[in-house]
Amino acid sequence: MIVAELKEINEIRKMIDRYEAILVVGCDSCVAECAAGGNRETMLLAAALKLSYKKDRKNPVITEACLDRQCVDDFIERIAHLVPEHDVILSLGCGAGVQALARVYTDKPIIPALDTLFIGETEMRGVWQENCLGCGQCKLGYFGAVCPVTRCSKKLMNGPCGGSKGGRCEVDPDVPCGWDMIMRRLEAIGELDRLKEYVPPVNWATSHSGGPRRVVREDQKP
Amino acid sequence: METEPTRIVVYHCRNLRLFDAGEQKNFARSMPGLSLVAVPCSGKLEAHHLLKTLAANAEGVLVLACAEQACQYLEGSKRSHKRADYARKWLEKLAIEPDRIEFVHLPPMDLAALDRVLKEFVTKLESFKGTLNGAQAG
Amino acid sequence: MKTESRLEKVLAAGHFAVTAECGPPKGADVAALQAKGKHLLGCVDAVNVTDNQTAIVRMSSVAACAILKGMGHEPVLQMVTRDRNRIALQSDLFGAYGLGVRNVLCLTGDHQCFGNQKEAVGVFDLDSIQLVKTVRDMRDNGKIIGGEEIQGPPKFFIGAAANPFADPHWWRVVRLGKKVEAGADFIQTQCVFNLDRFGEFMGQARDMGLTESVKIFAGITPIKNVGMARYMANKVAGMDVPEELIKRMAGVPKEKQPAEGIKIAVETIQQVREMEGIAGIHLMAIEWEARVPEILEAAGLSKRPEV
Repeated sequence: MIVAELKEINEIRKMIDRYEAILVVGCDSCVAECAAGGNRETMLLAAALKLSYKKDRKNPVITEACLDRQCVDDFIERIAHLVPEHDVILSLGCGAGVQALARVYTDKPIIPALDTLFIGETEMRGVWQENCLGCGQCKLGYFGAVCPVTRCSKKLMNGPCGGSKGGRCEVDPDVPCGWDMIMRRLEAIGELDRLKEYVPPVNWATSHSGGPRRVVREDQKP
Repeated sequence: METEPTRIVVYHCRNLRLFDAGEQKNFARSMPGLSLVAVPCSGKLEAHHLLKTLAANAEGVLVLACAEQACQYLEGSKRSHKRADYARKWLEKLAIEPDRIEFVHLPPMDLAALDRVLKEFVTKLESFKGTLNGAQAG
Repeated sequence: MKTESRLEKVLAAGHFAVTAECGPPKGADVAALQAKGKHLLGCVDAVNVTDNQTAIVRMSSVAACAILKGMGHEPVLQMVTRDRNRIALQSDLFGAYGLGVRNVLCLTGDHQCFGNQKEAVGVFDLDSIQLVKTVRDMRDNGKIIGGEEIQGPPKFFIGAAANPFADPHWWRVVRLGKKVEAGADFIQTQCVFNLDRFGEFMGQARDMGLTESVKIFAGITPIKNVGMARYMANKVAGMDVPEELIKRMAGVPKEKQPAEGIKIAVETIQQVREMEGIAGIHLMAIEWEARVPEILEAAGLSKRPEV
């Protein structure tokens, strides 16, 4: 899923203060799972904004709504009746959600309420871990299903580097060494021999380095 | 000269059994500005409920929960405590007195304790008078 | 001979070789670089020129190599993959060779979070082992990454680093093997303070037959004072400074600590020289280049071979 975090309220206020009717729109998919932009967080942000404006003796219209998915047109259209009577949409979607809203509601300013961070997993309640960079050519099968591109701070393919100490990364002792994890996994599945093979340079052309990516499937089109 | 009563919303867990049938209304009438809302478990309360209550018209929100070990739903009381703390953090971020939200573990059926807690809360809120009297929202 | 490197000649003739590190200035101060270079002139076989070490912006290692070369030094170009993608790395290899550089040390580099440009993008298009292979493919096959032929392939004497002290210990010699397999001709190790662990590593290297195909330089760093010893023990990634050594430094009055640090360095040199498979030492006298001649004198290594 996409993991995101709510921006500081002051930064949000700075972006929306010029509007008088604000439609706060959440997304009940990925960003709900990471407790940043789901239905709950949408209600919380709307309440916090009301309170914040109340303190400043202002009273803009603040309406809240939450879409099941903010990155799919069929869902986005469900707020169509609310959009005309508001000056701005404050989106609690990820960066994709914000841009999808902008593509559909062409004449409306769309303001992000979240900072989109990474593709990751819920490691436990309250802990989310980045583990995929979307490089476009998954090699997890060779690395015991731990991604060196994501989990190693230096994206080493023939690691670990000389900064690995006690299973921790040199960048930050709170960060586990990705290569330490790879080695443990390979040991557990009896495939340590893979470590001796030279891994050639990554082809970054399939990653974002190759420009914005797009998938087109004729069989899926209407 | 008549002073405005302090507007307080109290969310209390039903399992505290504070009021017999019909008694809640009488208690609320005895204290102008007081609204009492019974919830099935304090754990049903979310941070947004508490902020919304303040954004509407209340000057303070009081959450009354069972002792953690006494919670009928195991983790409900613990969770609502965390959420109240989280809502208080939000108030700090908004530069609003965090003490406008208070979380209290109350012994069951103890109206005297409720009375004491309310009096202290009112005193505290009176010292904040005027800091959150903006345009009436909600 | 694979290359025109003087360092390769010294090693091929069976001499115990000495290299030393020289950090370029934080700016365009050529005189400062030359002053450092002067201390080392004539007392080492080659000078390693660091590449924005610990991610701090300094004069480019290619330019500093050329300046030191002009003074009569044999430079070893350190190249990290942190700051440049494969286009820039390969281009700089051509350029450095064109300027007369004959040795390159291939590194990944310290993470940018340690330096003074913490907001920089970390490139890491290649890793150090891939860079070793890239330089080797240029030299031996006349090709760049992707297989295209090049005009006038640079023929570098290829180095890589090894850190026997990082975790896991069993992996370190495997990684050394990978570097040798990828094309490393020589290896310069992390600073040796823990001789027991270093001896163990060398034993493993010999068992794998690696000492026959690669020249290993033991890294030596003289400690200036007990504060530096503690700092390296606790703050520098991948360092192993044993507690006894810190105690030994702490047991000496402050004004005598530099002399003690040099004494420890000399003793370490003598001990690694006894180890089978050690081809030389690499002196990393951090901002202390002036004391290098004295250390080498005390270690009996001040006379460098003519080749």
